[in-house]
Amino acid sequence: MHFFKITIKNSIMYRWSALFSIIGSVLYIAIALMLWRFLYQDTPDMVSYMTKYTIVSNIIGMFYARGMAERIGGKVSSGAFVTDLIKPINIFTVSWQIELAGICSDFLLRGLPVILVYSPFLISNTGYYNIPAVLISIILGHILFLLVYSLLGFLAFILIEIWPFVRLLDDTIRLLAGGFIPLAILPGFISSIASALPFRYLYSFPLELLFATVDMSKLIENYIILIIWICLFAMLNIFTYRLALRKAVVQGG
Amino acid sequence: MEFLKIYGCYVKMFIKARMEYRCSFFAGLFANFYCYFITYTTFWVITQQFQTIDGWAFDDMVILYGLNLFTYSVAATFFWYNVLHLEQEITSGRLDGYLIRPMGLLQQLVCSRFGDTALGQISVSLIFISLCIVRINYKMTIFTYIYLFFAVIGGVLMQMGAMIIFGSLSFWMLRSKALADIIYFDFRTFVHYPLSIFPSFIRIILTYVLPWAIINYYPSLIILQKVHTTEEFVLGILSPIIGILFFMLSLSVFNRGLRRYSGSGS
Repeated sequence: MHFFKITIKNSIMYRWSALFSIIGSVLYIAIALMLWRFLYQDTPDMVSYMTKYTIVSNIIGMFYARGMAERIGGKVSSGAFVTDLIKPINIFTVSWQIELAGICSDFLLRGLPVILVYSPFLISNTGYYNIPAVLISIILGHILFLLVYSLLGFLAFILIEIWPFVRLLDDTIRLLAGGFIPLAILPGFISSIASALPFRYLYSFPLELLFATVDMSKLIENYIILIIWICLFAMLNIFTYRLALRKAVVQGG
Repeated sequence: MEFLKIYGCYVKMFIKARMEYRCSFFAGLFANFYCYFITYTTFWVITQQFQTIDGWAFDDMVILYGLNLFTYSVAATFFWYNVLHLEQEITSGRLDGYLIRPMGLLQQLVCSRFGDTALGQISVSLIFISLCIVRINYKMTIFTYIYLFFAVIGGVLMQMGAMIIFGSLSFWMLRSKALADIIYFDFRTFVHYPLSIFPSFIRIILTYVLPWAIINYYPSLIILQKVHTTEEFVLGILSPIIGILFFMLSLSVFNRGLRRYSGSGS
């Protein structure tokens, strides 16, 4: 809660910045909506589907915290990581709490206005299914996202500057997670790359669940694969963290 | 000339310093290359699915987006770090330090950080534009090549002008990055696509209020022989001159802001 209060205070410190950030989010969705409306102008059903898809995918995106990598990576490269070792808290847990606070404040300041602005589109285009399953998939997606980015943060021990790698990851997710372009319309070979990677569970999976009825066995199969990916990245995080502790050398006071 | 010599020295020192961490340096270049490669891929995916976007095939989209990206990247190598992000210099109090040195403020800001990472964007856009020009060679005449050269210069000046103006707003607002994010970056997203797919008020805004369409849309219409109205032709032909005027306007905004500056209180 303290992190949340601090993050909210920081966010509204410069009110104009907060306002512009809201307008920016609304505008970004508007541009995508206009593009899809034009491209599917002859098929109203697709316009309606893509409208929902674009708005909801942008809302889902707010639950995925990008700051984890830079937060951990920054501490590693500046050396602040060492002082965290003597605190009775874990660097991963603290970073996660800060990110959660950021997500809550971001959702309040940007998410709610976006939902309000686009609510007429969301309400008029009915046909939402599996809402509890969608929420579970978003929570699991959040954990997966966090683990992938924190792993990148810990890799700062080797890579020193991690922003290029964060950017590589961001852009890969942009194309292969189905946040902007649904995976169904990607050409065959890109689509098969997307299916082999875990990123489709971030956007495509919850959106497919939300907009269509899904076979229960298929749903469980997807959850199991998602959990396996989470376990894999959790283990990689633990391994990297332990390796870092073993190799780290603290010099001076 | 003197400034160019000093700037060359700064760039040389900067590259030497960056090369200390060779892997990070090349990773930065590659990250920017990859980011925009993905954007071009997105256009390819859309045009594969829909053939064209209002008559604009993939090659046309490459010219449209490439002009915007190339001019932006060239401007960014000089102005992105410390001019567009002038708020950091002001709010941290570092700007006061610049003011007591015997060199113009804008020149110092340009020298203080070379935008090496934009080289990745420049290379990806050059590759795509060159390949595309080879493919649409049938549309290219001597006039088109000469026009393209001037349109690029006009576009670079326009992008530089925009970075200077949005950076200068920090003199009044202290923090202008969020405003730049929406007016410069978000609104410029519209011109990644042909303006004809958007409602007409957006075309008017992007031509006469926030003239980002002058950077790439109108020049692309001329290069790709897609001009339909006299207005489009005139705006396209005048784009290099508009670029020069916009750059001059930005310098006057910067100087006006600087005259008003009295410290950030940091």
